[in-house]
Amino acid sequence: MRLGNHIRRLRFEHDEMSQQDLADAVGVTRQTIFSIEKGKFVPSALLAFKIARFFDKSVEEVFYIIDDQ
Amino acid sequence: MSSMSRRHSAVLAAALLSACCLIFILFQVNANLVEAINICRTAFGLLDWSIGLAHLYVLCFHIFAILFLLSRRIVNERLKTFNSVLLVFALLSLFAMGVEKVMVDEVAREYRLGSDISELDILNLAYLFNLAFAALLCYFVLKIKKTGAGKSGRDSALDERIFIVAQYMGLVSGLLGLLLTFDLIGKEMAASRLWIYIPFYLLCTIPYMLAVLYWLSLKLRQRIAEWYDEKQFQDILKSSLSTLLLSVPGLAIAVFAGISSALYMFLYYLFLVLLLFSGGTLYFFKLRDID
Repeated sequence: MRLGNHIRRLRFEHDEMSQQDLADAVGVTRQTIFSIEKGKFVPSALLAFKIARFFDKSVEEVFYIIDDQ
Repeated sequence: MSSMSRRHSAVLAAALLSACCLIFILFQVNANLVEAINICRTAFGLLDWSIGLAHLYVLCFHIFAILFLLSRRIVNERLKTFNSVLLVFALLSLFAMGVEKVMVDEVAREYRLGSDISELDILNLAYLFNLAFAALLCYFVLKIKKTGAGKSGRDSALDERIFIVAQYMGLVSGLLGLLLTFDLIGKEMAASRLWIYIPFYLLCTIPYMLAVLYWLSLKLRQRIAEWYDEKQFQDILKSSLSTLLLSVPGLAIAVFAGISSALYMFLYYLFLVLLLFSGGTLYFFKLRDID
Protein backbone atom coordinates (compact mmCIF):
# COMPACT_ATOMS: atom_id res chain seq x y z
CA MET A 1 0.00 0.00 0.00
CA ARG A 2 1.52 3.33 -1.04
CA LEU A 3 0.58 7.01 -0.90
CA GLY A 4 -0.02 8.85 -4.16
CA ASN A 5 -0.60 12.58 -4.57
CA HIS A 6 -1.65 15.31 -6.98
CA ILE A 7 0.88 17.86 -5.73
CA ARG A 8 2.67 18.32 -9.04
CA ARG A 9 -0.60 18.96 -10.89
CA LEU A 10 -1.80 21.33 -8.19
CA ARG A 11 1.50 23.25 -8.32
CA PHE A 12 1.15 23.77 -12.04
CA GLU A 13 -2.44 24.85 -11.59
CA HIS A 14 -1.23 27.48 -9.13
CA ASP A 15 0.66 29.65 -11.61
CA GLU A 16 3.24 26.92 -12.25
CA MET A 17 4.53 27.21 -8.73
CA SER A 18 7.99 25.75 -8.13
CA GLN A 19 8.81 23.04 -5.61
CA GLN A 20 10.92 25.58 -3.74
CA ASP A 21 8.02 28.01 -3.40
CA LEU A 22 5.76 25.27 -2.07
CA ALA A 23 8.52 24.16 0.29
CA ASP A 24 8.91 27.71 1.62
CA ALA A 25 5.15 28.01 2.04
CA VAL A 26 4.77 24.84 4.14
CA GLY A 27 8.12 25.10 5.96
CA VAL A 28 10.09 22.17 4.57
CA THR A 29 13.03 21.73 2.20
CA ARG A 30 12.61 21.47 -1.56
CA GLN A 31 14.02 17.95 -1.38
CA THR A 32 11.13 16.95 0.88
CA ILE A 33 8.53 18.20 -1.62
CA PHE A 34 10.43 16.45 -4.42
CA SER A 35 10.46 13.17 -2.46
CA ILE A 36 6.75 13.43 -1.63
CA GLU A 37 5.85 14.00 -5.28
CA LYS A 38 7.97 11.04 -6.31
CA GLY A 39 6.27 8.87 -3.72
CA LYS A 40 9.60 8.23 -1.96
CA PHE A 41 8.59 9.93 1.28
CA VAL A 42 5.32 9.73 3.21
CA PRO A 43 4.58 13.07 4.89
CA SER A 44 3.28 13.31 8.42
CA ALA A 45 -0.39 14.10 8.95
CA LEU A 46 0.54 17.67 9.89
CA LEU A 47 2.53 18.25 6.71
CA ALA A 48 -0.20 16.63 4.60
CA PHE A 49 -2.77 18.98 6.13
CA LYS A 50 -0.46 21.99 5.59
CA ILE A 51 -0.04 21.13 1.92
CA ALA A 52 -3.78 20.54 1.46
CA ARG A 53 -4.65 23.78 3.24
CA PHE A 54 -2.15 25.67 1.09
CA PHE A 55 -3.94 24.48 -2.06
CA ASP A 56 -7.31 25.10 -0.40
CA LYS A 57 -8.23 21.43 -0.82
CA SER A 58 -9.08 18.60 1.51
CA VAL A 59 -6.36 16.04 2.30
CA GLU A 60 -8.26 13.39 0.29
CA GLU A 61 -8.21 15.67 -2.76
CA VAL A 62 -4.42 15.96 -2.56
CA PHE A 63 -3.41 12.47 -1.38
CA TYR A 64 -4.75 9.01 -2.16
CA ILE A 65 -3.90 5.41 -1.35
CA ILE A 66 -2.48 3.11 -4.02
CA ASP A 67 -3.30 -0.51 -3.27
CA ASP A 68 -0.50 -2.88 -4.29
CA GLN A 69 -2.07 -5.60 -6.45
CA MET B 1 23.37 51.73 2.86
CA SER B 2 21.49 48.39 3.05
CA SER B 3 22.71 45.64 5.38
CA MET B 4 23.72 43.55 2.37
CA SER B 5 25.79 46.40 0.96
CA ARG B 6 27.43 46.88 4.38
CA ARG B 7 28.23 43.17 4.46
CA HIS B 8 29.83 43.33 1.03
CA SER B 9 31.89 46.35 2.06
CA ALA B 10 33.03 44.49 5.19
CA VAL B 11 34.14 41.49 3.11
CA LEU B 12 35.98 43.80 0.72
CA ALA B 13 37.76 45.54 3.57
CA ALA B 14 38.67 42.19 5.16
CA ALA B 15 40.07 40.90 1.86
CA LEU B 16 42.16 44.04 1.33
CA LEU B 17 43.52 43.84 4.87
CA SER B 18 44.36 40.17 4.34
CA ALA B 19 46.20 41.08 1.15
CA CYS B 20 48.19 43.72 3.06
CA CYS B 21 49.08 41.18 5.77
CA LEU B 22 50.26 38.70 3.14
CA ILE B 23 52.37 41.31 1.36
CA PHE B 24 53.92 42.21 4.73
CA ILE B 25 54.67 38.54 5.50
CA LEU B 26 56.10 37.94 2.02
CA PHE B 27 58.36 40.97 2.31
CA GLN B 28 59.63 39.99 5.76
CA VAL B 29 60.22 36.34 4.84
CA ASN B 30 62.21 37.25 1.72
CA ALA B 31 64.09 40.32 2.98
CA ASN B 32 64.62 39.29 6.59
CA LEU B 33 64.34 35.50 6.74
CA VAL B 34 66.30 34.80 9.92
CA GLU B 35 64.26 37.16 12.07
CA ALA B 36 60.97 36.70 10.23
CA ILE B 37 60.70 32.98 11.11
CA ASN B 38 62.80 33.21 14.27
CA ILE B 39 65.43 30.74 13.08
CA CYS B 40 67.75 31.47 15.98
CA ARG B 41 64.89 30.81 18.44
CA THR B 42 65.37 34.01 20.38
CA ALA B 43 62.68 35.50 22.60
CA PHE B 44 59.67 36.80 20.70
CA GLY B 45 60.10 40.39 19.58
CA LEU B 46 57.80 42.90 17.89
CA LEU B 47 58.43 41.39 14.44
CA ASP B 48 57.50 37.90 15.64
CA TRP B 49 54.26 39.15 17.17
CA SER B 50 53.44 41.16 14.03
CA ILE B 51 53.96 38.19 11.73
CA GLY B 52 52.10 35.88 14.11
CA LEU B 53 49.10 38.21 14.29
CA ALA B 54 49.16 38.65 10.51
CA HIS B 55 49.01 34.85 10.08
CA LEU B 56 46.18 34.59 12.60
CA TYR B 57 44.24 37.32 10.82
CA VAL B 58 44.70 35.62 7.43
CA LEU B 59 43.45 32.32 8.91
CA CYS B 60 40.36 34.01 10.38
CA PHE B 61 39.80 35.82 7.08
CA HIS B 62 39.77 32.49 5.24
CA ILE B 63 37.13 31.09 7.60
CA PHE B 64 35.05 34.26 7.26
CA ALA B 65 35.40 34.20 3.46
CA ILE B 66 34.27 30.56 3.25
CA LEU B 67 31.20 31.28 5.35
CA PHE B 68 30.45 34.33 3.20
CA LEU B 69 30.72 32.29 -0.02
CA LEU B 70 28.51 29.54 1.43
CA SER B 71 25.79 32.04 2.33
CA ARG B 72 25.50 33.62 -1.11
CA ARG B 73 22.40 32.94 -3.18
CA ILE B 74 23.44 34.06 -6.64
CA VAL B 75 20.83 34.39 -9.35
CA ASN B 76 23.26 35.14 -12.18
CA GLU B 77 24.50 31.78 -13.59
CA ARG B 78 28.00 32.97 -14.41
CA LEU B 79 28.52 34.43 -10.95
CA LYS B 80 27.11 31.25 -9.40
CA THR B 81 29.87 29.24 -11.11
CA PHE B 82 32.43 31.82 -10.01
CA ASN B 83 31.12 31.53 -6.45
CA SER B 84 31.57 27.74 -6.50
CA VAL B 85 35.06 27.96 -7.99
CA LEU B 86 36.01 30.59 -5.43
CA LEU B 87 34.76 28.34 -2.64
CA VAL B 88 37.04 25.52 -3.78
CA PHE B 89 39.88 28.05 -4.12
CA ALA B 90 39.20 29.20 -0.56
CA LEU B 91 39.45 25.66 0.81
CA LEU B 92 42.70 25.06 -1.09
CA SER B 93 44.06 28.39 0.15
CA LEU B 94 43.20 27.35 3.69
CA PHE B 95 45.03 24.09 3.12
CA ALA B 96 48.00 26.10 1.81
CA MET B 97 48.24 27.72 5.24
CA GLY B 98 48.95 24.29 6.68
CA VAL B 99 51.64 23.85 4.02
CA GLU B 100 53.12 27.21 5.09
CA LYS B 101 53.46 26.00 8.66
CA VAL B 102 55.28 22.86 7.55
CA MET B 103 57.53 24.80 5.15
CA VAL B 104 58.47 27.40 7.78
CA ASP B 105 59.65 24.60 10.08
CA GLU B 106 61.52 22.93 7.23
CA VAL B 107 63.22 26.16 6.11
CA ALA B 108 64.29 26.93 9.68
CA ARG B 109 65.65 23.40 10.12
CA GLU B 110 67.51 23.42 6.79
CA TYR B 111 68.96 26.87 7.52
CA ARG B 112 70.31 25.74 10.88
CA LEU B 113 71.88 22.69 9.23
CA GLY B 114 73.42 24.91 6.55
CA SER B 115 71.56 23.07 3.78
CA ASP B 116 69.90 24.44 0.67
CA ILE B 117 66.58 26.13 1.55
CA SER B 118 64.66 25.41 -1.62
CA GLU B 119 61.51 24.99 0.47
CA LEU B 120 61.46 28.81 0.58
CA ASP B 121 60.09 28.74 -2.99
CA ILE B 122 57.20 26.50 -1.88
CA LEU B 123 56.55 28.82 1.06
CA ASN B 124 56.45 31.85 -1.24
CA LEU B 125 54.11 30.00 -3.61
CA ALA B 126 51.74 29.20 -0.76
CA TYR B 127 51.64 32.86 0.32
CA LEU B 128 51.08 33.95 -3.28
CA PHE B 129 48.21 31.47 -3.51
CA ASN B 130 46.64 33.08 -0.42
CA LEU B 131 47.18 36.51 -1.99
CA ALA B 132 45.57 35.37 -5.24
CA PHE B 133 42.52 34.18 -3.31
CA ALA B 134 42.19 37.53 -1.49
CA ALA B 135 42.45 39.36 -4.84
CA LEU B 136 39.86 37.08 -6.48
CA LEU B 137 37.47 37.57 -3.59
CA CYS B 138 37.80 41.36 -3.92
CA TYR B 139 36.99 41.07 -7.61
CA PHE B 140 34.02 38.80 -6.87
CA VAL B 141 32.56 41.14 -4.24
CA LEU B 142 32.96 44.12 -6.56
CA LYS B 143 31.17 42.15 -9.29
CA ILE B 144 28.18 41.24 -7.14
CA LYS B 145 27.99 44.77 -5.73
CA LYS B 146 27.85 46.05 -9.30
CA THR B 147 25.24 43.57 -10.52
CA GLY B 148 23.29 43.44 -7.24
CA ALA B 149 23.21 39.68 -7.73
CA GLY B 150 24.23 38.43 -4.31
CA LYS B 151 21.45 37.93 -1.80
CA SER B 152 21.94 36.40 1.56
CA GLY B 153 19.60 33.43 1.28
CA ARG B 154 18.02 33.23 4.70
CA ASP B 155 15.33 30.73 3.81
CA SER B 156 14.74 27.03 3.46
CA ALA B 157 16.78 26.93 0.21
CA LEU B 158 19.83 28.14 2.15
CA ASP B 159 19.15 25.66 4.97
CA GLU B 160 18.98 22.82 2.49
CA ARG B 161 22.17 23.95 0.72
CA ILE B 162 24.10 24.24 3.97
CA PHE B 163 22.77 20.86 5.14
CA ILE B 164 23.97 19.18 1.92
CA VAL B 165 27.29 21.04 1.94
CA ALA B 166 27.90 19.92 5.54
CA GLN B 167 27.44 16.29 4.52
CA TYR B 168 29.84 16.65 1.59
CA MET B 169 32.35 18.32 3.91
CA GLY B 170 31.87 15.43 6.34
CA LEU B 171 32.77 13.02 3.54
CA VAL B 172 35.87 15.04 2.69
CA SER B 173 36.98 15.38 6.33
CA GLY B 174 36.32 11.72 7.07
CA LEU B 175 38.28 10.60 4.04
CA LEU B 176 41.20 12.93 4.73
CA GLY B 177 41.35 11.83 8.37
CA LEU B 178 41.31 8.14 7.42
CA LEU B 179 44.01 8.64 4.77
CA LEU B 180 46.21 10.49 7.25
CA THR B 181 45.70 7.79 9.89
CA PHE B 182 46.50 4.97 7.45
CA ASP B 183 49.56 6.87 6.25
CA LEU B 184 50.87 7.23 9.80
CA ILE B 185 50.16 3.58 10.58
CA GLY B 186 51.98 2.62 7.38
CA LYS B 187 54.98 4.69 8.46
CA GLU B 188 54.83 2.92 11.85
CA MET B 189 54.69 6.24 13.63
CA ALA B 190 54.71 5.65 17.36
CA ALA B 191 51.40 6.56 18.99
CA SER B 192 53.26 8.63 21.57
CA ARG B 193 54.45 10.97 18.80
CA LEU B 194 51.03 11.45 17.24
CA TRP B 195 50.59 14.79 19.01
CA ILE B 196 52.86 16.34 16.34
CA TYR B 197 50.17 15.62 13.79
CA ILE B 198 47.35 17.31 15.70
CA PRO B 199 47.47 20.41 13.42
CA PHE B 200 47.12 18.13 10.38
CA TYR B 201 44.15 16.34 11.94
CA LEU B 202 42.63 19.73 12.70
CA LEU B 203 43.13 20.71 9.07
CA CYS B 204 41.31 17.52 8.04
CA THR B 205 38.31 18.42 10.18
CA ILE B 206 38.21 22.12 9.25
CA PRO B 207 35.92 21.68 6.20
CA TYR B 208 33.32 19.84 8.28
CA MET B 209 33.65 22.08 11.34
CA LEU B 210 33.23 25.22 9.24
CA ALA B 211 30.09 23.94 7.56
CA VAL B 212 28.58 22.79 10.86
CA LEU B 213 29.49 26.02 12.67
CA TYR B 214 27.91 28.08 9.94
CA TRP B 215 24.79 25.91 9.97
CA LEU B 216 24.63 26.31 13.75
CA SER B 217 24.99 30.08 13.48
CA LEU B 218 21.84 30.13 11.33
CA LYS B 219 19.93 27.61 13.46
CA LEU B 220 20.63 29.12 16.88
CA ARG B 221 18.00 31.74 16.11
CA GLN B 222 15.37 29.01 15.71
CA ARG B 223 13.78 26.54 18.11
CA ILE B 224 15.44 23.11 18.14
CA ALA B 225 12.22 21.52 16.82
CA GLU B 226 12.64 23.64 13.68
CA TRP B 227 16.26 22.75 13.02
CA TYR B 228 15.35 19.93 10.63
CA ASP B 229 12.23 19.22 8.65
CA GLU B 230 10.61 15.81 9.10
CA LYS B 231 12.36 14.21 6.13
CA GLN B 232 15.75 15.38 7.36
CA PHE B 233 14.99 13.92 10.82
CA GLN B 234 14.05 10.61 9.28
CA ASP B 235 17.12 10.56 7.03
CA ILE B 236 19.45 11.36 9.94
CA LEU B 237 17.88 8.55 11.98
CA LYS B 238 18.35 6.08 9.12
CA SER B 239 21.91 7.28 8.63
CA SER B 240 22.65 6.89 12.36
CA LEU B 241 21.40 3.30 12.33
CA SER B 242 23.38 2.54 9.17
CA THR B 243 26.50 4.05 10.72
CA LEU B 244 26.06 1.94 13.84
CA LEU B 245 25.67 -1.25 11.81
CA LEU B 246 28.48 -0.50 9.34
CA SER B 247 30.93 0.60 12.02
CA VAL B 248 30.98 -2.97 13.39
CA PRO B 249 32.61 -4.52 10.30
CA GLY B 250 34.66 -1.32 10.04
CA LEU B 251 36.12 -1.96 13.48
CA ALA B 252 36.60 -5.62 12.66
CA ILE B 253 38.69 -4.58 9.65
CA ALA B 254 40.84 -2.45 11.97
CA VAL B 255 41.41 -5.38 14.32
CA PHE B 256 42.33 -7.77 11.49
CA ALA B 257 44.58 -5.10 9.96
CA GLY B 258 46.49 -5.13 13.25
CA ILE B 259 45.74 -1.65 14.61
CA SER B 260 46.62 -2.25 18.23
CA SER B 261 47.22 1.25 19.59
CA ALA B 262 44.15 2.69 21.34
CA LEU B 263 44.92 6.18 19.98
CA TYR B 264 45.10 4.99 16.40
CA MET B 265 41.90 3.00 16.92
CA PHE B 266 40.18 6.13 18.26
CA LEU B 267 41.27 8.25 15.27
CA TYR B 268 40.31 5.52 12.83
CA TYR B 269 36.86 5.11 14.43
CA LEU B 270 36.27 8.87 14.63
CA PHE B 271 36.87 9.49 10.95
CA LEU B 272 35.18 6.25 9.89
CA VAL B 273 32.00 7.28 11.71
CA LEU B 274 32.18 10.77 10.23
CA LEU B 275 32.53 9.31 6.74
CA LEU B 276 29.71 6.78 7.22
CA PHE B 277 27.28 9.24 8.85
CA SER B 278 27.83 12.02 6.31
CA GLY B 279 27.69 9.61 3.40
CA GLY B 280 24.59 7.92 4.78
CA THR B 281 22.77 11.19 5.39
CA LEU B 282 23.61 12.41 1.90
CA TYR B 283 22.43 9.13 0.39
CA PHE B 284 19.11 9.04 2.24
CA PHE B 285 18.38 12.75 1.89
CA LYS B 286 19.28 13.31 -1.71
CA LEU B 287 20.75 10.47 -3.73
CA ARG B 288 18.26 7.69 -2.98
CA ASP B 289 15.35 9.71 -4.36
CA ILE B 290 16.97 10.24 -7.74
CA ASP B 291 15.53 7.81 -10.31
